[in-house]
Amino acid sequence: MKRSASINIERMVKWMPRFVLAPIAAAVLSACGDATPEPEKFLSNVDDCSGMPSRQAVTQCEASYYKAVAKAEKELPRFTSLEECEKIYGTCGAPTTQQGQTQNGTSNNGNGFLVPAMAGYIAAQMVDDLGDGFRDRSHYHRELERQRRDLERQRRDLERQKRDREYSQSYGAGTTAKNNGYQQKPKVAPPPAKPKQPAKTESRGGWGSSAANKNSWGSSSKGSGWGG
Amino acid sequence: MFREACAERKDWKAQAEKFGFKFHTMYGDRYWDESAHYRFTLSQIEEGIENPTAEIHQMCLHAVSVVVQSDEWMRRFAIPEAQWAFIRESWERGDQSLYSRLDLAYDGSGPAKLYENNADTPTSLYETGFWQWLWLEQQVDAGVLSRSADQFNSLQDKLVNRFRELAVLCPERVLHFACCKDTEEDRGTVQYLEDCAKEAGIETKFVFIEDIGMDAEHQFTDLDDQVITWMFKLYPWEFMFKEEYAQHLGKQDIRWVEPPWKSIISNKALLPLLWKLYPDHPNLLPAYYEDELDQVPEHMALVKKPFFSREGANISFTDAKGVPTGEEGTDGGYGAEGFIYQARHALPVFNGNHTLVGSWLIDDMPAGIALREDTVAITQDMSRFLPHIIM
Repeated sequence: MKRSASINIERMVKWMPRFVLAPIAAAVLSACGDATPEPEKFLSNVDDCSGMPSRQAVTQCEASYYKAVAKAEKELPRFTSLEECEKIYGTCGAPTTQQGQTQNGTSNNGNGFLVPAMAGYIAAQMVDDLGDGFRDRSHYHRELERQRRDLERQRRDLERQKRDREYSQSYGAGTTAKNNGYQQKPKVAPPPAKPKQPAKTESRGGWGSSAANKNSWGSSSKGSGWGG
Repeated sequence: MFREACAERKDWKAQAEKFGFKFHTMYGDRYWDESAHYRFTLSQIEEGIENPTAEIHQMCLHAVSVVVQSDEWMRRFAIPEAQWAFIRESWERGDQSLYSRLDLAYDGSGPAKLYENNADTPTSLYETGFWQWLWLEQQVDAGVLSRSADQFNSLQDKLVNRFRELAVLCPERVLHFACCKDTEEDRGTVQYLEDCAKEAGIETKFVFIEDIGMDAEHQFTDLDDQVITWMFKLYPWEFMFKEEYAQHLGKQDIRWVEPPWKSIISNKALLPLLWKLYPDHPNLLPAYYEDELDQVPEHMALVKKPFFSREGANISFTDAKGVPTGEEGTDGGYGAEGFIYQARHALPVFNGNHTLVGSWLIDDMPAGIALREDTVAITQDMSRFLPHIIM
């Protein structure tokens, strides 16, 4: 066979907040059995954890919510322009921080960045986190479990491969020396020095001027990128 | 090699949205085109494309070793002298390549001919590695294609594995991914690569090229002021070598993907050098520098190409003396660094469509093909992408 043996198709589905939001939130909330606020309200504000059936569940919900927000802050792409963000992700806004989001849509982290709508992301993370208490028999949750098992298996494979390579004299077919003087054994990059945290950026925008100049020459198709 | 009409999946556009393939149609024109596909035999794939791809890559590596050892060749390739040490160090250190794409003229019978090597910023990665793979799976399930249909496309498997290898060589580093603003295609390609890297267990982060900053120690930073120590960039080296931060390249503790030495291969100045190193090789076309036109055989039709053009821009046809014959590609503002002249070798034509084979390598391993076709002779960024099968 000359093609990829298998691709996890569900993993290739791009995260779409509107698609994810309803089933995840509904599953989470329906497990509680109480009358619940609308999913969008539930996930946009940690106060909606108060809808949980017990004090312990409220505490778990709040802890999970803050954990999901922290993870979102770290992983979601950031934009300085609303237009650029919405062009790619559809719905965007100020990031939901641990301290909450301001009414006028600007973040209170002081940086003015924008991110894709976080509600669906937070919902998915919370279900991941609170799985045992909120798991149901839906297809979506079975799929999440399968993906978690796949991920765990891949992590174990990666660890094993790393150990094999570290004990081996060579790196194997992918990276050993070829002819023409190309690296006899590629040098492993040392772990990066611990930089001052955070770094003090003194300038920005030193890359990208060539692309901007070419766009201004009226090249007909450069919405399609700089690859070749 | 045949071109065959094919029933389209009724819901392919909805699926494209679901999977985030946003640039399937550009400016109202089809880019992804599943109204037809190409059919190859296994022998055509293995002997006609795969083996030559591997061999051409090794030839290109030899050409790099020639160039980096010679100031004269570095000058001939129009590489700024300020970047020579930066490029040489990346080669001597063995900085690793992720991917390349050869553009080949191949009609199923004669030897494939190399048009150029996209070694720095090749695109159509997502369409090749996942989207056409999915097309095959679904068309077989639907009974439109035979169960024995295969495809030359192990790109995604190889990408993920290659990221695992790169991670061993760059331990404890976050891999930043960068592309320009205002291009949905580039953002989609980079997202796909980021997904593959994540699947390989790498911690990733995205930043736009234009948003990259620099601190007092000349380390590059992202919007969170995090120092960048490992970066994939979908942005050409030849652009970067001329921009504001170029003077600081080499001062950072950073590994680049693609590494700086790949800029020698993506430069079309490579093509006359390959012809000098491997004259009359069956997979090469004769190629000359502008000051060598007196060596061109009489009556040889030529294609004039800027060193650094992309997607067919600023390409034109000339006679054996370099006199234009009137046909030209789009104007992308390329050509300032110089031109090469390559023997004209027409693409095969199927039902009025000129078809180009894009042959991918992950590191040095052939990994699959991407077929592009157009009603005009010069393949460009709007040329349609068609899937293929092996039967």
